[in-house]
Amino acid sequence: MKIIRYQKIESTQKEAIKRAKNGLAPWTVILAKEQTGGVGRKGNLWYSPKGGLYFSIILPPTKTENVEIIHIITSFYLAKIIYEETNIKPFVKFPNDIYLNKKKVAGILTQNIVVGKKGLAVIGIGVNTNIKNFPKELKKKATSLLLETKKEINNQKFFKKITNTLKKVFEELFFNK
Amino acid sequence: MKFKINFQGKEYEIEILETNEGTKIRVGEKEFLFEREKEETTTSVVLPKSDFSKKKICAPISGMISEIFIKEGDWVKKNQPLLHIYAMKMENEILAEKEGKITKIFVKKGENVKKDDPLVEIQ
Repeated sequence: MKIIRYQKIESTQKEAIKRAKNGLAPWTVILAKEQTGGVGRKGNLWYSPKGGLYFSIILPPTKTENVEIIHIITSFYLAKIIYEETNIKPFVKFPNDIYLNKKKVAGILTQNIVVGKKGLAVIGIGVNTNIKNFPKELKKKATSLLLETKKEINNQKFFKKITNTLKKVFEELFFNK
Repeated sequence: MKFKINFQGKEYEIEILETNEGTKIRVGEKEFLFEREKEETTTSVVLPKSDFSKKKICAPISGMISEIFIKEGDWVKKNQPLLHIYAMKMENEILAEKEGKITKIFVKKGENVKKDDPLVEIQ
């Protein structure tokens, strides 16, 4: 897995989509410490200050029907990893938001580039890991792993756990490795 | 190339030479020139491979047409984005499978489509 790191970027997802169209190798991850215009669904912004975990994974091309499943699997595995880290049962608001104690803690944005029968999925993941404060308008709706557990998360380890898990699962299921 | 032949009891020395004018065959002191036929110059022209067939691009999944980037009559390149289908809270960007002219758009923004419904025709 190749990781391209940014200190600050507008959006890992936009960058990954752009690079995927230009033929960037599958299993490349765009990772940023901060996003200035992190995107959520329907163009909504994803609050992305330093401390959180923001990355987008470019998957290998696969059948378009697989791409739908990839999105759902990502949600559940991310929820599982969050549970293992926090010991708090997460709630998956199907299919792409994860809540802890009724507040959003992570989001998944999957975008597919489809040519003919083949689709290439770019999975964008944002996890509020070590965010200490949220703006007033988000305080009641969003939380972080740090706020819920009162302990700091090792972003690097957490990132590796997520990406390694997803790669293993998807390769076994769809990419025959 | 030189060699000798014996013809009806008489020996002849023969030399064959390849020259610019053609093939010279020297038999003793006599010389025979076999001129080459002038080759006709032909140029083969390879036409670019063009696919003039019509191609219908169909919905890979069921969903809602959230964006259309092209209009009928547009010329699109291969892999150019045509439209977005929003499905399962995922955005699916449909790219052109081939270069050509958009001859028909079967859908409108906001419309729901089923898997395999025709979206766009490219010729």
